[in-house]
Amino acid sequence: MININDLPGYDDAAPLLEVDNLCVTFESFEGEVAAVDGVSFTVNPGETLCIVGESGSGKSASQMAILGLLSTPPAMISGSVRFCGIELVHAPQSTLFTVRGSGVSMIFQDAITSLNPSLKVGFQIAEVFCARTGSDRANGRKYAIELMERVAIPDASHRVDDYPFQFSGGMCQRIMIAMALALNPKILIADEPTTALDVTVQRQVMELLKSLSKNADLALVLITHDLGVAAEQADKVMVMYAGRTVETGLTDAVFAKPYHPYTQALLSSMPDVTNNFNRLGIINGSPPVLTKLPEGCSFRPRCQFAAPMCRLNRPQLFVSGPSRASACLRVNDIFKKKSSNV
Amino acid sequence: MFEPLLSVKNLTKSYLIPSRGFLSKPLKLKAVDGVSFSVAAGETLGIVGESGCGKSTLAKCLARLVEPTGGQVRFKQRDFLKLGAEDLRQARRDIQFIFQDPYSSLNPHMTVAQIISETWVVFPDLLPKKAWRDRASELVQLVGLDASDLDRYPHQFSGGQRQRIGIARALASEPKLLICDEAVSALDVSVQAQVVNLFQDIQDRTGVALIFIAHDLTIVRHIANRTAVMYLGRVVEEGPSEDIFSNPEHPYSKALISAAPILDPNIRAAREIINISGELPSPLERTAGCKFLSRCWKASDICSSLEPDLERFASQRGVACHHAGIGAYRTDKKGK
Repeated sequence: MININDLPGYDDAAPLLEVDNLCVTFESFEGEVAAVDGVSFTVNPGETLCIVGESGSGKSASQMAILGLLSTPPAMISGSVRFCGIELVHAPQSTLFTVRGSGVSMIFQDAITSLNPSLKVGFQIAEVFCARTGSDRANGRKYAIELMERVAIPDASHRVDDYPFQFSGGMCQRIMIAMALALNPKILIADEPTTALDVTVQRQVMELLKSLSKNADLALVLITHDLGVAAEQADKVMVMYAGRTVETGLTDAVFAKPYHPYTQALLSSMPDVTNNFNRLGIINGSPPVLTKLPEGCSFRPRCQFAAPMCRLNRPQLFVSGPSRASACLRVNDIFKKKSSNV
Repeated sequence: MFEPLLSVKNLTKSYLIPSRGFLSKPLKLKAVDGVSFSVAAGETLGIVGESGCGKSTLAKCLARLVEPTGGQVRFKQRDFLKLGAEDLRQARRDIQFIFQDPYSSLNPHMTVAQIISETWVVFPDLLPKKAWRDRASELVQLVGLDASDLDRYPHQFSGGQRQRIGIARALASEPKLLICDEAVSALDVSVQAQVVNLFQDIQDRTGVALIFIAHDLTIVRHIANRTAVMYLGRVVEEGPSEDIFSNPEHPYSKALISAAPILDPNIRAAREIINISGELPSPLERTAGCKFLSRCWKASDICSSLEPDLERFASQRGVACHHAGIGAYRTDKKGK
């Protein structure tokens, strides 16, 4: 097995994950569609980054592109993704094989369909471990039990021989997490890991992810559309809209005082304990179709602050405060002025 | 005497599941198990609970889309369950359904005008054919679409717009009761709020009563006057939403409400999370006593032998727990 340290470009001092100007485009009948358009972020050890956005905002596509899970063609990927300095975009398959699992691993929304229904869960958990370390089945089984205990599956030594259908949704998600942890990755990308789960089970899985990131120094990239989950889990958030990052920053700061009209509108449209008796704030219209993006800022047609200048060009993400960035041209007019009045 | 629009007593729906053995008796699965509540005209009742707790079966029983196996449903002063086929058909114009999935609940071969007018095809005495088009265009405008959308097909609309079409269709027969089964859960966050507000507008304008079923607690809290919490086919707690959410009595509602993610860091810091172990047990495993027993931290001897009934306490609250209301409510009740 090749170690990550032996891969070309490996650098201990480099950030754990550095994504720079990542673009994912697809060819369609109506021309090229940019699912992800110039996304950049970094993830440090032990940190939880939450990517928030609606369906079609490019949050999943960007993460799939990081691990090279999109087949090219039809996807066209440009930009740079470096894991510990190792370039992953257009990297040879051997590099990706090494990094997947032991460097970066991923869990998906629908755990039950992500598991192979005809194989015992223990075998599925240990499969990648056996393949990579060359250990035998008996060892793999032992290791699978260990991992299942780590993700708090009760009675692991018996359940290791069960099939996925014998587990509930929450338990299947735990099995997926165990599988993803098999090679001790440094980053876990979780794509809507709790969306399909019930509230009480969602809470259990959220607590599990939190304890893993705390105890194992595991960096988490959490993709979600649920702002509540993001608020509770994340150190940093990144809000995406129509393939672009519209705002980034530390979670509490962003949710307390958003610097982008989209984030602000999204927050006011959530019923919360505090605004219970008021009407919900609404965002007019619906998310844009990527083939027919409006000119200028893509949020412009739905934005209550839109001005003629917003039509001219698509705003870039720029620094708008301490570790904050916003892609709104009018950020100073709208948000900063308000705060000085208060 | 004042009678609510809809009153449900002891409603039960059970299914027979063939068991493994050749001669053994089939197992009985009680999807809805003795549920009682009432809805007044213009009121919104929220029903929350996790998947598999019988919310949707209950909703379908109310419209008799599935036939309940027991209990009573009175709707508009009539025994709804005893209506014959033609009477039921007529009665259903007053009970309309809005479904979760806006993509599969509209016929792709019909234009919006046809989808909405279908109601008047079924109930021809409701509206003369000449007026169909005008009324349809009024309805689409009521739900926030344009009259020019009438000749378009469902695939030309986004999810939120389709849900609006579904609402317009439901309103075509001027119902007294709308049953919304997870009507907003398939929508994007920014669109969800539009539809929730739309429901409130429509209710203000037409005085329709809503039964709002959802697993998203914050939305139910926002929209519903009263809330019922279901667990394994039973209503474990019922009462005014504000009471239920700010001061839940049943251990399950406590756990459920505390598990919901909270945005505001200050409120989040004050909250105490109650983690309940395990997941929903199989509804087939028949145990005497309380259904929440296996996950409850308050369980005692009585809970394993006697299933608690929904007992009414002060302020129209009902709780089905032997340990609920140890404070004021309980002494109150004993005193009576």
